[in-house]
Amino acid sequence: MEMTVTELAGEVTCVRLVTRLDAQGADRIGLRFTTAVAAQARNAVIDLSGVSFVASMGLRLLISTARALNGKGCKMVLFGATDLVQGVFDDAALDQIMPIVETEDQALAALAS
Amino acid sequence: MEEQPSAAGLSLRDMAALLAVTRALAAPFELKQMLAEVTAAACSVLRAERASVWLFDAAAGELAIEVAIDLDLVRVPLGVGLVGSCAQTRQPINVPDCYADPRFNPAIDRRSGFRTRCSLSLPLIDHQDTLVGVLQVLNKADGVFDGGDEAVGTALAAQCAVALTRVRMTQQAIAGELMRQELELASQLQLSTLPSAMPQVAGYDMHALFRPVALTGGDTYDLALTDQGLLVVLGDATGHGIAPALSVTQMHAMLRMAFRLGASLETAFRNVNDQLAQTLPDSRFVTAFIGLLDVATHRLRFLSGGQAPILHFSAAAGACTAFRATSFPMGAMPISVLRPAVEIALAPGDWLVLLSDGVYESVDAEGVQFGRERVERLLREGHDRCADEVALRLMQAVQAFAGSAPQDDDITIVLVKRQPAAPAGVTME
Repeated sequence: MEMTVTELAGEVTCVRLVTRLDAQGADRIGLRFTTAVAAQARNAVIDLSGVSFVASMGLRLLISTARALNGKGCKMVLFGATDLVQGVFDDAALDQIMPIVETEDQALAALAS
Repeated sequence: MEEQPSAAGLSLRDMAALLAVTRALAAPFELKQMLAEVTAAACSVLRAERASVWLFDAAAGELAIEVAIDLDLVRVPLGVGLVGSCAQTRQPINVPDCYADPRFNPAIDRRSGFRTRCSLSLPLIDHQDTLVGVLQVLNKADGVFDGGDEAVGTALAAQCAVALTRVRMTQQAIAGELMRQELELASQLQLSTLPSAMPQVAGYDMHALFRPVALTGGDTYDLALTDQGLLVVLGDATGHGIAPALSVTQMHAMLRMAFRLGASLETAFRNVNDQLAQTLPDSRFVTAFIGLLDVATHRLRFLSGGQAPILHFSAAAGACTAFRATSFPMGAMPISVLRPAVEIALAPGDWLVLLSDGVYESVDAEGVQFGRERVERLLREGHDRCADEVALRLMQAVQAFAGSAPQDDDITIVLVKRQPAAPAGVTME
């Protein structure tokens, strides 16, 4: 499965991605991802440990989804990025838009802060 | 001279009338005019009081009246009434007494105030055997329609069908051409916002290259001398086509205005970002490098909204330093805290290299990206060349790498090279 959606305690949506977030990957999961994360006014944590690569269209998907969720007064937190993916996030200063942490516990803590 | 019927049963007078109609139908390219010609020809040739054309809407399975006196739009399902039956069977239907035929719908007479005595319905089938519609003539002037009228009417209907198909195809071609012209205009408008020539700055060589995927692209660039220094911009809106082109053109115009009004780098960056955040939809933002180069001190200050990597090639080291974005992509959200601008010094022979992701993310047949390493290698090998030559080599390298795969993202290359120090005794121009 490229994408698994579960509900964590405290009404938090957790989406685990196992895919390449390049143009094709982002296009494939885009609508499902945005719907799963931003359709409801509910905080979300995104597990990226299964994401091997992120390109500009992947960044676009993450940013637009986070913006949509922020518009509902909720937060989206990323966690588990590999070094390669983290490098892409650092290049694009993504941490200024949404929290990026290492573990699921840190992600849940970031939601609470 | 006595009239001799043709093999199809047409008299010379009928033949002459049909040829006249054929000539008349060859000219119009506008549907309304063509339909008027068809009905006028039908009334004339078949000596009918009235004629109407019903065009077949294949998607709806209906026929819609297009030309008739006293009637607004009427639609008839395929197989219903005289017209619908004619279309379904693709055969002429000659009815000498309409009110005696159960297929006849007298409601249309009631609406129009016309009294239909007899009718001849003729299928309009074009040269590709496609049903175009139905031509219906009503009330023959001196009696009822006969077999001869059916033969003449069938010949006339064939001519009309071909002419109508031609008009429809012409209209589709015109609509396509109008769309193409509008895109062309949008493309020209976008290109007109780009510098028409590179600024001439002593001691510097610069070049920019913009190759959109479609007629309009989501990238933009600027190289312009301002009171604050040489303005260097590379912008890349998400996606490509008209909507991203509008986003980057909007950003470009705001930046130009801000710097013309004397804004600092930070003020321009923050204000343009915040304006874009208000106007762009959630899914659209612009990665942008905005730099000001002091051409006297050779110091470049820049802010970058999501645009990375920013490459500084050092001629002395023979290597690149890659800088990250200072901020998130422009327009993604308002800036609460602006991180400080980055400052770099361009030594003689150094390059500033700004490339849109259409370069870095260009992929080969195996899905491998062009990446930063290939760019850096090309710079190491070609840094002593002119900026336009390096830009061209870079573009050629990307195209060779992608092979036969079509370009799927806009490509923009902006290169600024500080000329190397002249050898002792030589004056640089």
